[in-house]
Amino acid sequence: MPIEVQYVWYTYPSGIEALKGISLTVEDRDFLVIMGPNGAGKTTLLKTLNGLIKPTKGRVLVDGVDTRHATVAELSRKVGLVFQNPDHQLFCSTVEEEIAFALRNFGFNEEEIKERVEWALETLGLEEYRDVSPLMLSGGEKKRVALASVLVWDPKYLVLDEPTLGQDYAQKEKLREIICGLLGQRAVIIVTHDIEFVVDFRPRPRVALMADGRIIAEGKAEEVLTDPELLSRASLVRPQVPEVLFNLREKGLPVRTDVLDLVEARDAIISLARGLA
Amino acid sequence: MSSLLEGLAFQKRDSLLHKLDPRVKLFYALAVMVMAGVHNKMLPLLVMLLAQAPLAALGKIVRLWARTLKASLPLVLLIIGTNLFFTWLRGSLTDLYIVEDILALAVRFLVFVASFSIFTLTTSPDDLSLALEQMGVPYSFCFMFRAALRFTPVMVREARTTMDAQRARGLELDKGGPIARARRYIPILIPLIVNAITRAWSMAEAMESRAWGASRKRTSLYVLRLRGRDYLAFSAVLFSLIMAFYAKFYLKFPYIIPIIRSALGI
Amino acid sequence: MGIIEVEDVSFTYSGSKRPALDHVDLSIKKSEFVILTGPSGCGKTTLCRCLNGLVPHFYSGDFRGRVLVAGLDTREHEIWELSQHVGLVFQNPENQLFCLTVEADVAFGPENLGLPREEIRRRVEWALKVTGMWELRHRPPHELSGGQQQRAAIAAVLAMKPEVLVLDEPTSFLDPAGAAEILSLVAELNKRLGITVLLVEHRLDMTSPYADRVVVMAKGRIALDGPPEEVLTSREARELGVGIPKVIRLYELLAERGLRLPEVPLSPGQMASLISEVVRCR
Repeated sequence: MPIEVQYVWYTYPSGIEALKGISLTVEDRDFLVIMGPNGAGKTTLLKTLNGLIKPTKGRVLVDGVDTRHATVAELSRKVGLVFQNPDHQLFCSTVEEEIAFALRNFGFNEEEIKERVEWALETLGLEEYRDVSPLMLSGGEKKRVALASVLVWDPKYLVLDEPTLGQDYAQKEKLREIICGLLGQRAVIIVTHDIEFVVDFRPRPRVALMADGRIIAEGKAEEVLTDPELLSRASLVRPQVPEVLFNLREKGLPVRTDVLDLVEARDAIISLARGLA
Repeated sequence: MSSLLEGLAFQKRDSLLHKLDPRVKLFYALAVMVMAGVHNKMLPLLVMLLAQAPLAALGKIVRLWARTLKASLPLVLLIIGTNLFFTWLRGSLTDLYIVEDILALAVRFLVFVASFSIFTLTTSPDDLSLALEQMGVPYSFCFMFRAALRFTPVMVREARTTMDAQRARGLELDKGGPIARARRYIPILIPLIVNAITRAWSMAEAMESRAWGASRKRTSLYVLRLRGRDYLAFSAVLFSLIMAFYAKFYLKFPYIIPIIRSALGI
Repeated sequence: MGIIEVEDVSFTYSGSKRPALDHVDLSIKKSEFVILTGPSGCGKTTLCRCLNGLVPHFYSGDFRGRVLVAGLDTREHEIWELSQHVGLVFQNPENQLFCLTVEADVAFGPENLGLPREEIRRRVEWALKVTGMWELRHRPPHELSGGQQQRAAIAAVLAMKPEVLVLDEPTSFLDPAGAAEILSLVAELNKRLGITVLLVEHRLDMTSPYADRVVVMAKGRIALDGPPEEVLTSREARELGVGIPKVIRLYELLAERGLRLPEVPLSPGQMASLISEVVRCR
C-alpha cells in the first residue's frame, strides 16, 4: 500500500499558506526526489507524511491510515524522516545510544535493539565511532549518524530532507552509495536543491518540482530536469550536461537535449561531429 | 506564556507613539509603575488601567495590547487566588472591602502589564538600546540586550525544529507522569544548549571581524534628539505623576462595591 | 609583493594534537579572484581565520611562520586593524547579523571603529548600494531570504572598506537561486571595484568560471595551486576528491574519442561555443 497525498492544503498559524493543493503518490520501494526553491513548501510537505503537520484541507493516507487519526510516533514507524541539520537532534553521549534512541521509544526489546544498532552502524560505516560522542564528529559523520538513527527501525518509507547540505564532494559520493544500497528494499524520498547530485543517481529517481506551495511538474528525471522552462520556474540551476546541448542547439546544431548522462552526451556530440563532417 | 511574550514584542507601525523618543516612553512606563505602586485602591487603579486604552489606540496596537492583557490573566487569577486563600485562612473572606482590595492588587498588576506592553510594542529594541546607550549604560550591555532580542525568534524556531526531529524519532512528549515528562525534554534541551553555544562562538567571531571593541569612543550612526512632541509628552506624563501623588495624599477614594450595590439597589 | 602573503605557516589549535595548517605558503595578488577548495576538515577555515588575525588572536594555539596582510604582520596587529584590510564573510548569514535592521548591521563595524558620523553614513550608503541592499535597509534580518541575508553580511563587511574579501562557504546554506545571487555579486565586486576575493567553495561548477586561480588544500597543506583549467584537469585533483565540473569531465571524454577542444571549458556556454567551432571547421 502506498502513501497518498490527496489535494493537501496547509496554512501555518502565522497565516502563511505553505501547501496549496498538493497531490502525490509514493509507491512501495519508490525512489522520489522533490526539488524547488526555499519557501516552496518542501519541508512542510515532508512533515505531513509522518503527521507532524496535519493538513488544513485534504488528507494524507499512509498505507490507508489517515494521518489525522494516528500519532506521530505511530506514523513514524512507517515513515522515517531525517531532518536537514543533525545538530538539531543529536544529544546522546555515544553514537550507539543515539542510534538506539528511537528503538527504545518504540519499545523494541534489548536483544533486538542490539542487533538493529549493529546493522545500522555497519550499513553506514560507523562502527569505529560507536563509543564516540556524536557531538565530536565531523559534519559528514553527523549526517550519517542522523540517518542511521532513523534507518535503524527500518521504516518502509525513508524520507531525507536536504541530505547533501554542507557536504563536500567525497561525502556526497559516500552518501549516494549508501542511498543506492537502500533502494529496492524500501521507498526513498529525498528533498534537495543539489541537481548534479540527483543527476548522477543510477537508477534515476522520479522527480517532482515544487514552487510556491504547488507541484508544478512530476515525471522521469530525464524529462523534468532537461526542461529549461520548468527548471527556471522552480528556480533551479540547469544541470551542466543538458545545458551544453541546449547551447549547441541554440547555435543551430542538430543535437538532442534530453540527456543527463555524460557518456550519452559524449556520444551525441561525437555523432554530431561525424554528421557534419 | 508564549503569547504573553509575543504581546511584548515590538510591532512596526506608523504612529505618533512609535515616533516618540524611546526615553520618553521609558519614562512613561516607569512613571505608571510608580503611580500604580503608590495607589492601592480600586478606583484610581481602574482609572489608570482604562486611561491606557486610548494610548494603545494612538499606537495602533489595540489588538495586540488586549491580547497581552488577556495572556496575563492566568497570573492575575493566581494573584487573586492566593490572596483570597490567605484571607480565607484568616477568616476575613466575608469582608467585601477586603475582597475589593485584593481585586485592586490584581488590577495594579494589569496596569504594570498594560504600560510595559504599550512601551515594548511601540519601541524597537534598537531604539531602546540606543536610548540606554545615550543615558550612559555601557554599550556592551546594550548590545547584549539587543542581540538577545534579535536571536529569540531564531531560538524559538530552532526549538520547534528539534521537537519535530525528536518526535519523528518516536519521542512522545506528553506521555506519562510529570517526572517522566520532564525527562523527555532532555533530548530537546541538549541540542538547544549545544547550538546556542556554537552560535555564540560564531557570533563572537563575526563581531571580532567587524572591529568589536576597537575604539573606546564608539560612534553611533543614530542619534536621539528630543523634539517638541517629546517635550509635550514628557510634560503630560510628569503632570500625571504629580497628580497621582497629589491624589494619594490629599484625596480619599471611596470603595466601589457600595456604589455598585446602591446602583443595583441591593 | 602580494596583498596577502602566507609564509610557511603552521598552526595547531590549543588542545589539539594534529596541526590544522602544516607549512602553508600562499600569495594572493591585488584584484585576484582565488577559489580555495578541498575536503572538509582540510584546514580551509583555519586558513581564512589566519587572514584577518582571528588566528592567532581569537583562537589561540601554536602559530609558526608569518602572514602579511597589506604589508601588516598579523601577529603584531590586532583583528580590528586587520579587518579594515581583510573582510571575512562566514557560512551562516544568520549568525553575522546582530541588529534588527540591515542598516544598523552595516553600520556596526564603522561604529566600532569610532569613525565620524558623516563618514559612517557615507560608508553605509555605499555598502548598501553596491550590494543591492539599499531598498531593504530598514528590514529586519528574519524577513529576508537567505541570499539577501548573506548580501547584508557582505555589505556589513564592505563597510569596513577592506581591499580583500574572504568568504568561507558563503553559499552552503542557500538555495541555488540564492547561491547564484551571491556568486554574481562577489564576481561583480571583484571586477568593478577591484576587490581581491578568496572564496572557499565546494561547488566548482558554479564558481570556477569566475576564478583566476584554484587552490586545493588537503590535510592542512596546499596540494594544488594554479589556473582552474590546469588544476581541474589534473589527476591529483580527482584523487583528492575535488568535485570536477561536468563540463570538464565531458571535455575529457570527448578528448578520449579524439574530439579535442582548443581550450578547457569552465561553463556550458563556453563549451558549446568551443564545440561548435570545432565541428564546423571539420
